[in-house]
This record gives sequence, C-alpha cells and structure tokens, in this order.
Amino acid sequence: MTQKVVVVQDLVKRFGPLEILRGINLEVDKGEVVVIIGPSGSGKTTLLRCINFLEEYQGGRIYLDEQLMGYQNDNGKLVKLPEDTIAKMRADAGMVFQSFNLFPHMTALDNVMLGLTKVRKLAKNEAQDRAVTWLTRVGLGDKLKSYPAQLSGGQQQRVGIARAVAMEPKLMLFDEVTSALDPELVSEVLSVMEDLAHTGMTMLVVTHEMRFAKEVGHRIIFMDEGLIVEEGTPQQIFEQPQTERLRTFLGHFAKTL
Amino acid sequence: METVIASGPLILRGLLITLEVSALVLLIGTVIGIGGGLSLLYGGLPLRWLARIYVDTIRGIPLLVLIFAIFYGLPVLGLKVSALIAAVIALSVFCGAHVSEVLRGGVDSIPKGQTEAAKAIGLTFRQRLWYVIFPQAISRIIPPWVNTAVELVKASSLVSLVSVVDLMLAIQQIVGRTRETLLLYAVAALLYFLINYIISMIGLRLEKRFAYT
Repeated sequence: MTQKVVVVQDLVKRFGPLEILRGINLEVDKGEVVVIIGPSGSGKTTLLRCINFLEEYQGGRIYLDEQLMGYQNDNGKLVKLPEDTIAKMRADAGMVFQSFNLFPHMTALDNVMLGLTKVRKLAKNEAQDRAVTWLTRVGLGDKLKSYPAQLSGGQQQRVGIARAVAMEPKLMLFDEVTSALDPELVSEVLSVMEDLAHTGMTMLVVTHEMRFAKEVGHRIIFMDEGLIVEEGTPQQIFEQPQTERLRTFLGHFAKTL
Repeated sequence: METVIASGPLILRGLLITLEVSALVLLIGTVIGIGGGLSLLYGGLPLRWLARIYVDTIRGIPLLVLIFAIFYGLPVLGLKVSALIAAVIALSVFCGAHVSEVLRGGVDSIPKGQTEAAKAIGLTFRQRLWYVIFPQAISRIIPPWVNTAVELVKASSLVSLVSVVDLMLAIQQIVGRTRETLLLYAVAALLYFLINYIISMIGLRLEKRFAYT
C-alpha cells in the first residue's frame, strides 16, 4: 500500500456566504506530482492554502501525513489546535507563492536559513551547509549574499523554492509560481520544479503552464466552481476530456499547446 | 541685546526644562505607544477596543484641553501633583496615542505575503514578528516616530500655560521685564528649530542604520 501524504475529505471552505470549496476529495501518494488546473476563481489556490492552514476550513478534513491539519478531533468535534502546534505542522508542507514573498531584509542565504535554524533547530553551520546546497541546486550558488531586490523575478522564485525545499517537507505546494514572471524567466523556474519532481518529492502544483502539467504531472485535476470536475492522467485529461467544461477550458490553451 | 545676554541663565534653565520634559515624555510615550500599538495589532477584542478608544480620543482632542484636564482634574480626584508632573502626564498620554498609531501603521504596511511566507516555513507567531515583521517595520516606523518627537518638542511649549517654566515661559517672563519682544521670540524660535533640526538629523541616521537594500 502506498503512503498517502495528503488526504482531503469533503473539504468545504466559505468566505462569508460565498462557498469557495464545495466538497473536495483528494489523495496524494508519496512521490506523486499532482497538477491542479482550472479557471481563476475555481478554488485551486484556496485548496492549497487550506492544506497548510493559511486558510481555516469550515467542513471536512485534511490529513497531512495522517495528521489532522489544524484541528484536534475532540469526540467528533473539531477544536482548533494551539497556534504553535499549527506552526510546526505547516513546516511539513512547503509552499511557494505566486508573489515570491521573500524576506526583503535578508540575503538569499538568510532567507533559506531562517526556517532551518528557528524551526528545524539546526546548528548554524549545518543550516548554512544545507542552505548553500539547495541554493546551488537551484542555480544560485553565486547569489548567496544577494538581497531579493538585487535578484530577477526568476531568481527570487528559485530562492523561494530553495527556502521551502530546504526544510525537507513531506509535501511541496506550488501556487501559480510562474504567473508573476516575465515569459523569458518562466522556464528557469519550471526546470527547477521538474528537477525536484524527478527526485521523488511529493508535489501539488497549481499552474496555468499546460506543457508542464502534461510533461511533469503524474495526475491532473481539473477544478471549476469549487469542485473537482475531472481527474486523470495527463493523457486522459488532455487527449480525452470528458466534460464540456474541461474542453472549453483547454480550448483557451489550444494555441499554446 | 544686553538684556538677552543678561537673561542667558534663565533662558538656559527654560531650555533645559523643555529638553528634559520632551525627552522624558518621548520615553514614556514610546513605552505606552508600544503597548498601545501591539494591543491595536494583536490584542484580544476588549484590549483592542480599549486601545482604539484611547488612541482615537486622545488624537481627537486638542492637547491644551488634555493638559488643562489633567492639571485641574487630578486635584479634583484628590491627587496632588506639581504642574510639571501634570504636564509630563498629559504630554505622555498624548505622545503614547500617536506612537501607538505609528507602530500600528508601520506593522500594517508590511505586505500580508510576508506573514504567510513566515507561516509556511513553520515560524511561530512570536518568531514571525521578531524575525520577519518587526525588522521590516522598524524602518517604516522611524520616520513618523521622529516626526512625532518633533511635534512633541513644539507641543511641549503648551506646558507654559500651566506655569511650568520651560523655554517658552522663560522667554515670556523676560519679554515681560524687558519688552524685547521681537528679539526674544526670535531666540525662542531659533532654539526650538535647533532642537528639532538635531532630532531630524538623528532620525536620518537611524533611518540609514535600519535600512535594508
């Protein structure tokens, strides 16, 4: 039996009266790369944000490595865990953001080291070794001492990936990480992600990069209006879409595929 | 001119009071402001409301009213304090409200993504503030905080109205004796300006010190 890194059951998320996620069921195996596609407003990003509890959810369950995320099951009633416990759980789900969100007052090296020393409690030299290793792997071995403002968008995003991966999370969440980049910088970020996928990292990727989804994804999920409408292998999704909604959505990308 | 020189010691004593009052009030006001600002930002509902009412009320009433209220109000409540103490209390309450808002504004101006990124690598609430939010907020807080200090020095001249012999009242007393109105008020203006010029210079230094590329 393969190990499930993430199990999402009947997930419901509301913002006031607005239901963003309307019952999501999803399982991700260890080492699996799952790509989520869908129109904007479909709830893809919210789903990712719920998984590492940047958003609270109102219904259903999320298990990260068999641990209920953010809540404690108290005789069937969900009680929110203390903030520091949640903080620790989040470290197991690395997240990379659309807008990079690097810490601007720290060098690339310090950005990566912060979590290693403060959360993973590594000794400084150990943390530094690991940070240097990862920054080198994303091709930024010569930018250790650079501040985010001195880096291009593509470089910043690669630091963002290194910062998350260096924590050795059980799962990596990618939230439209290339959407804010100039077209010529997209490929350098995607190739780092592809590289990561080949190392067996479990990944959940929200993207509009259909070529990446097709070539790197093991499984594709198509979301629309807060529901998973279709899921399958890249071939099933891209070659034999079953629903009109998916066909319409893919139609928008026809030119770029 | 000789009158001014002859009054030198009196002006100096007034100047010293102005400096002492301002420095003390800035210190107390900043401590209050840190408490108030943190309450506004992270306090539970009652605390946040209390802080909000404090800040908005104080910022909404003229400082002179506040000074009189405390100067005349405390004795009514049975608290006998000197004019100087009453003035320091009033100014501190005033300064604290402004610093609260400066702190809140500075921290709030840090993009939400910073907190989210800090959360995502597993930092706790305290760690997020200490390593990610405050280091960035400080450089945004210093300019308005220095501005508050400058305003405070100028506002401290109001304590002369409850008979604290600060620079302002010292000058007025000498004017009363010598009728050298223009010259003496020019001296006062120059001295206030110099104090604030120095504060601004220190502020620029601090800004550079806490700036990041």
